Amino acid sequence: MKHKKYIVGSFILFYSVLYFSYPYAASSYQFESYLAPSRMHWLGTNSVGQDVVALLIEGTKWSLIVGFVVATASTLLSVVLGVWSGYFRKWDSLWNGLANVLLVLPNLLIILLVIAFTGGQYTMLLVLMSVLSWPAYMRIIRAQVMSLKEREFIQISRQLGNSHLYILTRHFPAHLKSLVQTKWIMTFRYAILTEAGLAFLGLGDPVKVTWGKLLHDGFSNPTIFLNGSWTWLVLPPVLLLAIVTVYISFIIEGKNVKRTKSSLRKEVHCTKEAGLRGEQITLHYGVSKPIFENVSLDVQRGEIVSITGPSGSGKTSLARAMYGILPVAYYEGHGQMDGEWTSHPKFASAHYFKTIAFMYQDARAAFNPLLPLRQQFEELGVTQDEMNEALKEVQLYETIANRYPHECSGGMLSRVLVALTFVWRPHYVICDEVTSALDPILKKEIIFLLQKKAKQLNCGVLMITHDHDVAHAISDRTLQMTKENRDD
Amino acid sequence: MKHVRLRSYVVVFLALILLNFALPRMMPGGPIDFIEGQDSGPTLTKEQKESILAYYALDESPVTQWVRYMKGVVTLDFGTSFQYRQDVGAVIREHLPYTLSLVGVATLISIIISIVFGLYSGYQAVHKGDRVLFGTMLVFSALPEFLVGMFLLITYSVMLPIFPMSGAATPFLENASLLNMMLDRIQHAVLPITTLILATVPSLYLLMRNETVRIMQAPFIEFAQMKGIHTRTLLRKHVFKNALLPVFTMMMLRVGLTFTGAIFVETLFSYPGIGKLLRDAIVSRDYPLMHGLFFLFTSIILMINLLTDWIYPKLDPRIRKEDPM
Repeated sequence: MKHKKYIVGSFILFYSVLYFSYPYAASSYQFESYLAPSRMHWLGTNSVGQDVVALLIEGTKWSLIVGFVVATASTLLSVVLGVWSGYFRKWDSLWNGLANVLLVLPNLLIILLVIAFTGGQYTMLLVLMSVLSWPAYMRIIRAQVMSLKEREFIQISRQLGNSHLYILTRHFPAHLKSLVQTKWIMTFRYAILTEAGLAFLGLGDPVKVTWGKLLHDGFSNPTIFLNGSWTWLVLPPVLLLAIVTVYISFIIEGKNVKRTKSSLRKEVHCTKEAGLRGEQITLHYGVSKPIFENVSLDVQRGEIVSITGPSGSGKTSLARAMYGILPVAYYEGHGQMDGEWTSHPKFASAHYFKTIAFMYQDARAAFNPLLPLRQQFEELGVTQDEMNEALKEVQLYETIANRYPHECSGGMLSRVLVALTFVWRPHYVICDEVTSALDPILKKEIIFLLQKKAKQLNCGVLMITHDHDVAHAISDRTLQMTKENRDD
Repeated sequence: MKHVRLRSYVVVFLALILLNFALPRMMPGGPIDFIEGQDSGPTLTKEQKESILAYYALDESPVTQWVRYMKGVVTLDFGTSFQYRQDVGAVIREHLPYTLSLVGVATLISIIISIVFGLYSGYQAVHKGDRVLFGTMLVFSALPEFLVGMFLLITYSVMLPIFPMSGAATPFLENASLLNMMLDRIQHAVLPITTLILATVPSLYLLMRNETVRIMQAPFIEFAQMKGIHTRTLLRKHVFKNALLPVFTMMMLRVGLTFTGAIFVETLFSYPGIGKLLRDAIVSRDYPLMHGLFFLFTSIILMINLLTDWIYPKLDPRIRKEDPM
């Protein structure tokens, strides 16, 4: 949407030239009915002999005025009421309650009810639409203001003795700007379409020419489809409405449809060596400066290897790259397990949790909150007995499988995660910060459990941790990553 | 939370009943002067004037009028339609099935399409693999029912005369066997239903897509991928429910909007449902019919809201267990 200014600008220019130089007036009925488009009448004439281009010029004016007036009034209302409710908290329950009530019913129904008894005069419609369309964004602005008010820079500004007015005019506009812009554009579209819809139903202002009124007039006469005059009576207002509203949608959402570089295809030649290996991995996340370069390491069955390092050193990403779950565009080099490339499309279904498993860092986040634990075992293809056996080995009752994650304590979930990791007796396990969220007693228990399991199954374990004590206590080897992109 | 919502429904309902009572009586000179003062209003016969006067009972005291009005609302007796010279209830009952079938079928298909497309699109969004679908939906999301319907009508009834332009059935159908009659009715309903679907799907789809994109970033989805679960299972078991829950309420509200959309669609295609009935009642100032229809539309939309609040806790195990409401 880089050309937004030029498109809107050239539309305004084109329209004003037409507005001031077109020879016929919308109010003159002096021509023959249903004249086809010609050099005299670019889009022909209608059933009562008005020039269609003149009508469109007039209709565009009144339709756009609806948009501008309603959008501006409604935006003002949402900002004023939103700030009033959210910042001063005065009459908050009144405005918020009113917004709630107005949000329950579709605006259209209320508008229809009112104009059924009062007629659909143009100004009446403008007022109605402005008064009914503020609630949704008022609530968003209110929430935004409430959270801004608690932010430190506002608090400090307040303590420095600045007045509310100063804060509201100096600090808030920048934070509310994009919200207000979106609200204005959305309401502009809403107002034009609602007016057009009402006019199309024959319920708009009978004397104001708008796009909707033109549609209604053309459409209320079925002969237009027989003599072909719909092409110049119905099509132009339909297209104008469609183009304007679709264009507006793309202004609002346009930023989401940008094209990005598609991920790279990668060719990898795996060596035949055994073990879980990271080969010359350089992590760069698609940007130029790498987090680390050319890291190689291997883990053999039966040994525990730890990687330690400060946060931000890329150790978790290294583990994901070796497991083959990190998008290949983010790094160079590759991970392999017993001579197979871990990022190969077929690797996941063949080996994940069967020969190689990944123990997630946070047990509570790892389980789907809406599925009972049983189903999260069963989707691996585990039988009832295997699951029960695995749960028993981590000192849990079988009945825990029927629970949802939110019904279990953190300690239980950590043990369930251990059970899940080892249920298929994998050859290799990657543990990513598995102890960082646990209290010291639980940490010891889980580490002990891991160590026992690994030894029992002759399993190669890659531990990612920032805890040097843990690393040194259980590891056969410890690798350290530093911020200076080296490994020892 | 629930009580707040319930309270606002009651407020909405009472406000509309009050509005319906007050508006015609607040007009300077009452409803008759209003109609005669309008250049677009129909010219009234003496008989019609009398029926309006009798309907509003304007010569009685406001309290008596209010009591009589409320009695009508409570007993669902809205009087006799000026236009049809029949009980309002009977007129509405005759037209309601048309709208219910249009909106019902359209809603069902819309929800299925938008959930499937939204899930797929949200899953693809990470690789920007859904740009065409997303762009198309964005275009349609901008267009209201009457514009979409107009395009369909011009394309499929005027330029390519495949479907009939108006009505719900062909009058005096030849070979009127049961099968032919059914086919004829389906043929008449195709364009209106398609219009409603095209107008409803985009907003539901965009909701579903955004939520899917958000859920796809959740740790438990990454963990499920680490388990090596097939994409289809991943979407069905892990993404679908988690994404559907937050948008469920919004989706149901949109279904309520489909009923107001029916006003435009039925008017456009001259389909004899309650939407067109409402529009015609407003244009011809048939106050008793209008009153009954506004009551019906409000009730339907509030019922959908209530139903949503009732179903939602049953879908979410976290609410179900912790807070039995």
